[in-house]
Amino acid sequence: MMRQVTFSGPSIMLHTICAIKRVRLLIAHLLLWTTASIATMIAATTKLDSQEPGAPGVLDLTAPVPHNEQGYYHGIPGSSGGGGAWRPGPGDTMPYRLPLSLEILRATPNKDGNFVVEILVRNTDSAAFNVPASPNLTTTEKPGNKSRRVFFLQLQPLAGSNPGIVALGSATTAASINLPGSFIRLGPGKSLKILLLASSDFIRRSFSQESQKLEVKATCQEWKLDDNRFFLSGMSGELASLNTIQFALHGEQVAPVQP
Amino acid sequence: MANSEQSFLTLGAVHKDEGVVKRHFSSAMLSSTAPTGATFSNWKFTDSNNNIVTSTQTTNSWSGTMVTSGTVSVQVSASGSNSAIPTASASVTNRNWHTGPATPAEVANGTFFSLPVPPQSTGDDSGLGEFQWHYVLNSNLQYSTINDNGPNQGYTYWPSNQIFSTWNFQYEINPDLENTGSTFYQAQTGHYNATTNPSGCISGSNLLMQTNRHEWNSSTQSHYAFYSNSLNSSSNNPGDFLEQQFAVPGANLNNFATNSNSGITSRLSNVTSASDVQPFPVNDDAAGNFLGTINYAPYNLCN
Repeated sequence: MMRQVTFSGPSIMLHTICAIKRVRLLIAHLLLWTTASIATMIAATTKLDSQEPGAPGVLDLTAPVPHNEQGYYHGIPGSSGGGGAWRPGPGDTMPYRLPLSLEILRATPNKDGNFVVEILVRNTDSAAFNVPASPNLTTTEKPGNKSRRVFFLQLQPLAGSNPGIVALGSATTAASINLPGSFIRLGPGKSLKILLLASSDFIRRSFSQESQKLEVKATCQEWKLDDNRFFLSGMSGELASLNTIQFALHGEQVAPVQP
Repeated sequence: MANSEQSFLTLGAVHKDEGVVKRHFSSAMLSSTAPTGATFSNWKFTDSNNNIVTSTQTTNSWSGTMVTSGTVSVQVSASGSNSAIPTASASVTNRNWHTGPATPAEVANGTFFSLPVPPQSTGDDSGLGEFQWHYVLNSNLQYSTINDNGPNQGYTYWPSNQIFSTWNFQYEINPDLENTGSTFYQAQTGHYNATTNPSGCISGSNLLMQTNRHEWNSSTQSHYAFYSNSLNSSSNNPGDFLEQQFAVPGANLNNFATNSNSGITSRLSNVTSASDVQPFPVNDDAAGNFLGTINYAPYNLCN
């Protein structure tokens, strides 16, 4: 695109101004193109899609994450904590509360017999909240990236179900200020629809013998990674959805009971 | 042949890599009762959730590190007889990763909290004592995926326990309470009597003893008791929890690590909540009996 910028020999002032303006426009255009490219790349990765004006954007996290994108670190981050008079200081893990609410909207079966669960994530704060949105954890967690945050969403069966199954479906996203577009900005009161995949096999195995209904909640949590090490500088409390969704077992078939 | 099939297959509990912390071992081996010339195929491991691992090897044994129990089977064929599929259970045993409570240690006033000197009736512990427990978990713990073509091929587990670079339980006692010559200590007259002098004061020695009891020196009514009992419970112990975590082949390993970490931190958070519960006050005994008023400055409360 820069080849389109031409400067001829003798130029009059107006021409120069126009040229400068044109360069500025082209630079601006290039910046827009670059931003758009990155945004497109991220959007393509996260399948972020604003369906119609005013409608919440959609973050589709139902696709399997390739093994080489599941995280830079293959372990558990360091953290600190305690009780009694202990209080976190600089360098410790600071607890915080996510200014969000979760609402399960619906679950629909996909072609594989699993379920796509729609969760509405709403910013309940008066300030904007940036939701980590990149499913490529390997890239975002990479050392050198600053203000790294990791966001977890899970579908958890409630008490009374098979204790061996912790989550029926889950997804993890991450973001860093070094990776433009890795966050999705949620203005005050704004919402984002997130799609999670729930395994019908896990759902089926989660039913207790006594019950034909399985109640499921959505939860989310966030970590803030220290800029210089694999250590949690912050860890949010776990946030549970305002409502639950039920699944019913008919023979071997599982079906959602919409909230 | 169904009944006799069992005799073909025995499981040897063969420790691999002794000295290296592994979640398990176990080698599935056919016994010598298999007919001479028998061939072996379709080795299969099935865990309790019906996850299956198969092997194409045709030897009479199948071995490898195991991290979860299940059933192993193999197809045995011998000329002149029908093939058999003997099965056997393979059980794994836990490594001892129990996270033990820190030993309570007294530290000087001001180390982590400044108790008022002379004592004032402040805080939950009457200004006479304070405790904290504190941990720092290192970040060098990494998971491992089994790749030995054994029965648990592809399973991921934690090969070593978490390491805490800080793991302590500390308490402070007000220096004036430990100083028998202090004005505060001398002002605790010990004239309380539930019947004859119910508004009397606790004695200095009793107050010191019960403050220690409140912070750490009681197996039932102390912050330390609440902390250690909570930590030692099977539902709250981070080491016991971590030891049993594994991911099936193909699982998202970031989720595995995340769930393991969440399991640890939620358990430690439970321990925090338990330790923060208030034992009987420092002027009660471990049975909850009131032992007298505490006489703070200007020391005019004792009758």
